[in-house]
Amino acid sequence: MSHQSESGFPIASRSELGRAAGRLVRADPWMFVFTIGFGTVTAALALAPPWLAGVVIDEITGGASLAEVDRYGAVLVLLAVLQLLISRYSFLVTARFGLRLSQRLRRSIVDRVLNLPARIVDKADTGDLMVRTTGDTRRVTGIFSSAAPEMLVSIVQVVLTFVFVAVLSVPLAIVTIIGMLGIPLVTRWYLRRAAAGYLAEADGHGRLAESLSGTVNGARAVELYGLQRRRQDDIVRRAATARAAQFATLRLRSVLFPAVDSSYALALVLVLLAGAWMYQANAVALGSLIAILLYVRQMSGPLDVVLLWLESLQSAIASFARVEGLAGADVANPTPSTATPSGPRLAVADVSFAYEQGPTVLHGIDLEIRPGENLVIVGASGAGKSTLARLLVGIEAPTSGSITLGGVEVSALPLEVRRSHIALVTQEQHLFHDTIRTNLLLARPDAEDGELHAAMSAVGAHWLDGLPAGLDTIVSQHDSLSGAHAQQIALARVLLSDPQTVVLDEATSLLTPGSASTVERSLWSVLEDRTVITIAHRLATARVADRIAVIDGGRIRELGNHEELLRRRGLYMRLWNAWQGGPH
Amino acid sequence: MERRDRYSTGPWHYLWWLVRSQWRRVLLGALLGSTWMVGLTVPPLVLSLAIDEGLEYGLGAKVWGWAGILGGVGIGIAVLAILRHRTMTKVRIYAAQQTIRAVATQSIGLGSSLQRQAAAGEVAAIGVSDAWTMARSLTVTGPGVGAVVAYVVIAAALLRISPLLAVVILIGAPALLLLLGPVLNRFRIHGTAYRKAEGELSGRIVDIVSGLRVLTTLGGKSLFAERWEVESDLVRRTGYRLARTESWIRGVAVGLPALFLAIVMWLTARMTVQGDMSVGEFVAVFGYVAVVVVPVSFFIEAAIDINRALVSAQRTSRFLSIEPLARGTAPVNDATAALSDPGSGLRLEIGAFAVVATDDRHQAKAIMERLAGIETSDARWGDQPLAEIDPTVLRRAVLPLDDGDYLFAGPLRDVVFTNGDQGDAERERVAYASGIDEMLRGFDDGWATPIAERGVNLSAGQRQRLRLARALAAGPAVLLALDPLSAVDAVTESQVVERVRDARRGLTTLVFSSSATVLAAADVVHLVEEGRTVASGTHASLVASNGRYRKLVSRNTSEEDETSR
Repeated sequence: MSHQSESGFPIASRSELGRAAGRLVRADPWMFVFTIGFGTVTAALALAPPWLAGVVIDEITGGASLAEVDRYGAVLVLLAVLQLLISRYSFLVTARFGLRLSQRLRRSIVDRVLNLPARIVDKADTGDLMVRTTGDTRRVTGIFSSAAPEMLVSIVQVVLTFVFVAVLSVPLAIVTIIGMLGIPLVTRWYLRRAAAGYLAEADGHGRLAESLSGTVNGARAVELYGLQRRRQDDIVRRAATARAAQFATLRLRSVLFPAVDSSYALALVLVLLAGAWMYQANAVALGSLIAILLYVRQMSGPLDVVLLWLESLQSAIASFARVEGLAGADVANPTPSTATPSGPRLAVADVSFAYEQGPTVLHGIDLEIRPGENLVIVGASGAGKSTLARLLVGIEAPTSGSITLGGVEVSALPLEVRRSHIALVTQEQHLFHDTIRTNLLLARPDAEDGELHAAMSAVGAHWLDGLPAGLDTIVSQHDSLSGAHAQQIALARVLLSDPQTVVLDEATSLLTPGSASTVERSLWSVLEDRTVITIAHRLATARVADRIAVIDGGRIRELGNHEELLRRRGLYMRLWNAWQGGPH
Repeated sequence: MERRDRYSTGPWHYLWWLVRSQWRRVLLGALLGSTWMVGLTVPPLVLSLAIDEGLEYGLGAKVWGWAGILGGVGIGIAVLAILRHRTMTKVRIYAAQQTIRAVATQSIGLGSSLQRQAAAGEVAAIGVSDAWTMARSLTVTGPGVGAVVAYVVIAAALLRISPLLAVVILIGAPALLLLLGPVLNRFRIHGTAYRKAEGELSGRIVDIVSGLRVLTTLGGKSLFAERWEVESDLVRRTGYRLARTESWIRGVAVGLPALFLAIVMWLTARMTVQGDMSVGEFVAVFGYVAVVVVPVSFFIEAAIDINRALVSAQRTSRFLSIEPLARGTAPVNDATAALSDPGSGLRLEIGAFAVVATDDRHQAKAIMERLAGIETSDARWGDQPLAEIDPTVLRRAVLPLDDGDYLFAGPLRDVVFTNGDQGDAERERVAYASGIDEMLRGFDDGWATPIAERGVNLSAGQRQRLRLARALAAGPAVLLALDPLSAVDAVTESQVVERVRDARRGLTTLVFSSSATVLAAADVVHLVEEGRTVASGTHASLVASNGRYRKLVSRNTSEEDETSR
């Protein structure tokens, strides 16, 4: 799939998968034993009636009495009731085993996601991560909890059937196998093509659903821009593509199913012919032959179940490989430094930076950040401001040069250490679908409500007092709270986490200009003895900053305070004038 | 209205509509399904005849003959089976797509009022899951019908051998299925709870992944790991409950036919001993009853599927029966007259580049929605109420632009030019005016660069300019823009404002903003406070004469100004 190559998340190998599956099963050994045990008993019970039919026939032809037949009949009924109860219990045990496996798998996934290194998180294709943690995970847990029980019982049943047939007559068991030889051949043919076919089918579904979702969510834009026809056409086109993919897999099944069904018929015919010959030669009893014929007929049921699930199993294994692949993502993390920063001094020395295979974004940046100062970084969009921010907080490591915090390379600091020293707040903030309290507490889990309220009012979020549920108000990324409120919550989080250095990258851009500068300044006063580095396109804050760095074309062009820079009549003055709405 | 009849009468009618729309294919499916399932009873019969008539002579002509028939019948069943599967697969595909198309058409028809009348998330979910849930339930029309037919045929065949057996089969299965009814109901309830818990858990991980940056930079991982653990455990527990109910259904699906088989075998064995039945017939009876497994499991599947489909159909038909709001039908009487919004006292002269100065986005948005005629109000174009004008005509003339406007996926060219590509000169004009020219230079594929759904592969500033480009390309007579450059830097903002002004010379543009750059470029500025227009004039005259205006604009640039005045 295309995601994989783009995202850089690895995919687990077969042997890794085997080990992962082994770990999951070993964590719950008794459930596993029960599952297998009950599965075997259930399968064996399903094989009893033909066996007993054969025995009864032999008894009858041998001149059995009515009382004897009644005894067998009672056993049969008893076995059927047992079969109902035990297969019910077998399903229950297996489903529960699957649910527990799924829970364990989900736990390991969330652990892995939460422990992804910052550098990877920041660059990651969220779409791919999303697919792995939702669709892929559900496919795997779905197999665990629904397909696995059925498949397990069916496989055992097929195997046991062959064993029973072989016990009754080895030659006829061999004849049965010869008759069914076509099944593995056609199944191989099918499975080779199925993976790609069903992927295309799922992709077709996904793209059609995506188009519908776009049409629904963008219904307003459809009306405003007169896109009715275009959206209709898009849906029709994608529906046709989705249909074509579904017909393609249908064609595959159109080969598989008849071939398999014919194999059953062939096996039955061969057993009948060979059986008749052996019966005549007294090599097999009538009852046994009939039992074998019934077995061969009955085999199609469980075999069909196995064949039907094979394809889902195949795609679930592919999903499992993607899910387990996340485990490999953190291996790529460079070994964190064990040194601790000796102080809050942040120093940028001759730093250049280029994104992988991209052009150089920053050139020879030198910047000594004084502890406790308010530094504002300004410049046009695309000048490299945000990249510098990412380097300052250690999300990226410079291509050349060094960025040190108290003498230690920032990007090499372990995440927890780095987090206690530097925090970054960006324009793109995320509100978790939870209470405002939880959204704040994540920055400092032991904070009390009073502290939460104080942090919120420091960032000008007085609307909190107007909410009926207060801190218990449930928020989410998409509803109720505006982007401005989300940014205030994000800023309050930083106050709570209270690091030595705060980097604000357009962190107030969604607030109205007036409140943005008010909030920035109140942040400065709360973070009085802290270093605050603000990246902004609104220059209101720049005016009162200790220093302003003007970035252009990846270089620091000007550095100084507002008055100094205005006197230079350079880039900063141009920016300032544009901002003022004056001549430029 | 025909449309109304079709959808609004409830879930059963909706499902029936899906069936009726492709009744020929459904009928074919029912025919093939019945023939196939009845066909399943033939091999036991052939086998029994072979045993009774041929076996004693060994591998003679008779056995060869019966074997040939057995093989032929087997292949015939295989052919019927795949024809049935093909037909039913098509029934399902077309049914699902029919729902998706109906939902799309309805969404398009509702347009800007959809968000007010339905939850978009729930509607989109119809296309992902409900459409297929309903489609799957249509299986009942093929093999489902077949199962009933086969069941009756099996009972009839047994009647020939023994009326007692036939009665056992005919009464037994429906009786047990009835007993299963309450279990099926519980199964549906637990199933819904399980899927809900699973869906919420899925939502939680989506939330965690989306906010992963926050969690890595600020911490709180343990908090979310704990939450996850609790919710994941809830999924397991609801799953346990579901499994308990489902296991009974599964057990009965296996055990019920087995019980029949046992009872019937017992009875037949007795009859065989008493000489009322041959060994071959005994095998035939065994074969018939063994086939009963197939219809019984189809019955159970069908009951489950329909149960689920009804919930989906309820949701779907409810959405499809929403009536679009009443719409005007008149053309625009006088396109040169001023637009006015009595709600705010705002008057927009045609041909001007006007700016509403306000800090309050909610009020700005409300005014914009009224002037665009999206929110029903007493807003007018000249003396004509906007509500009287045909929305299709109005939209082409008055276009609101807002950060919430959806960006559709597609090549940049299609995203911007919603009326079709207008050629190189127009492309350049729009790119220059909206400031996306700079961004275009960074794209290797230029106008063919793919834009993702909602423009998620762009930055907020890029998305804003892209929306602006789309609005400029649409070229409405009146453009209403809500803070369209709030996310771009000051230099770019002032450049783009000038360019937009130039590009829209001779047309009418109203921008809602409090940025000094934008206000300075306006022909006329209206100061709006608490939703009312309190002053109008040029930027310079308002700065000179209006203290509150000065305060609004200067807050924007520096605090000292605010405190000094």
